[in-house]
Amino acid sequence: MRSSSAIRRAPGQAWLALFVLVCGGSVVLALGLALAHSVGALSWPRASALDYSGWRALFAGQHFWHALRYSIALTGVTLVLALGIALALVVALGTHLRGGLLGRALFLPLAVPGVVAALMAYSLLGNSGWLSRLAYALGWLRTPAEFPTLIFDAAGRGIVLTHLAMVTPLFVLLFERVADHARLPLLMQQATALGATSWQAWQRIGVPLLLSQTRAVIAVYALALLGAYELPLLIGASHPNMVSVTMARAIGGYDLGQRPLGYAMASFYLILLIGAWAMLAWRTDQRSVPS
Amino acid sequence: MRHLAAKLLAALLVLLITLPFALLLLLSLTRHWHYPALWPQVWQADQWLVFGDEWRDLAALALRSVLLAAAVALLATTSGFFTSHAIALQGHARHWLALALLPFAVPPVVYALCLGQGFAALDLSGHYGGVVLAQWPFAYAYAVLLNHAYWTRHNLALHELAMSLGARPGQIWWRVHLPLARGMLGICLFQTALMSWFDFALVRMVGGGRVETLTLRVFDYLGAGDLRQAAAAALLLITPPALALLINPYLLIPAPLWRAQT
Repeated sequence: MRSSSAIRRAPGQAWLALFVLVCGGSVVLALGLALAHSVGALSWPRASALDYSGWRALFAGQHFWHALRYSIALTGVTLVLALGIALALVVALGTHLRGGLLGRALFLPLAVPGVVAALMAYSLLGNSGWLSRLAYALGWLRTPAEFPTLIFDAAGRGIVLTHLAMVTPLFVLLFERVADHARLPLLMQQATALGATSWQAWQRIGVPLLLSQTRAVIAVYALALLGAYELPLLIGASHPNMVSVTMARAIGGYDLGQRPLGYAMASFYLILLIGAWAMLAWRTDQRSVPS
Repeated sequence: MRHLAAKLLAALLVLLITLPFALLLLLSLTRHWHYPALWPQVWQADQWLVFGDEWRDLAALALRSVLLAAAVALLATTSGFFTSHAIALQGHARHWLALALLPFAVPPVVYALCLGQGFAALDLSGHYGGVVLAQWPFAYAYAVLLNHAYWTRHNLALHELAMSLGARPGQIWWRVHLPLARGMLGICLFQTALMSWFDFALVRMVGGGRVETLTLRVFDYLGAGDLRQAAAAALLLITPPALALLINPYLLIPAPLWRAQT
């Protein structure tokens, strides 16, 4: 007769195997296929030797690195602004964030996919968009051309603004919940009772506590912003653009000669992301208390 | 004074958040709206009527999108629930949960670009089944993260208890866990369905143009420069999550926020 723990474990192992295969295996397979395509190992008819021209082009050219730097810069700016605004709102509004109209409205951006966000950005921030019309009605502009270019903007301001509108409410919700869970108001009260000013209490207790508790979530959202696709595809400039768009153009474009380069980009980027994930997992592991 | 300032700021934020939605609604009801008018000059509901004329097409499209989302949600939630139980029984649950974060580190578009030809080689691209398979890892990992919160010491002990009282595995899942986890499973089903409903990159690349969803339709209208039609389709697209928001905002809370809360 089998012991109860063996009965309990046997079906569990199958689920774990499936989980490893689907969540880990598919990413490893993606990397393997990208690497194989980047050197022409899967090309038809089969080449006599592996072709490293894609990788040479990757490291010799500026195309990918430019896109990567651009994506990192836009993501960094978005993240810093979003976190700053979210923290400021949590400090300024406190309990007003729960309940009421605002409590509900903060969820609204969660109901907006990238494609719809692009449409909203287009009709709000474009040269003939609603903000431009408003500025005109207020007498700030004489022609739509005077409105700052935010859509198809090489500096990526439209992308940053739209991403900001999408993630800031989420960070507000996140901070508000973590503050509630950690009984932050009580801690702050204690700090002021011990003689700290309100500013000091936020600076020394509130903000560090909120940021340290949410580090992993912020990192995951940072990776999502870095890899954004629909939004920069629809409202980004044709050059420079974000890294996902650049890779998709190289791999899916009409110029088949660009494909090895595209796959080399994808392999490199995937290795970068897996590295970031490993570091994130390792850091969270170091920080968490053993259960 | 401070209270009043906070109320004003809150009101301003509500206005800012709802403005783009109001604009979409206006756009979807516009005929002529030339610069620099703040309001449409001529209104029309034809954008919506076009849907009416082509209602067969649109109804079929919406139905296919819903079925696709439902298939992904059912597959992901079921596998995620059982897997999260298996993980909770392991000593190092957080190592396993770290693996569930991996698909979130890789954007779907990169995944689709790398695996696209693989799907084609297996004759899976251009099929709804292929798209379900492509969306599954993301939804599955999400379901594991979300359902992990269910496996508290108490619920694990209930499992043991039912087992030692002689319940069969099927009975334990059906009579103990399903009723207890009902709320969370509902949220998981809705959110994984939403992941599929909103997905763009995987449907576009693995679907290869033969799998159509409402999200792709919005993209096509926008790409063709038809903002009014795109606005109408976009409003249809965001109706399910917006309704969910009215019913219960918790349906939309992402898994990491749940974990921060419990």
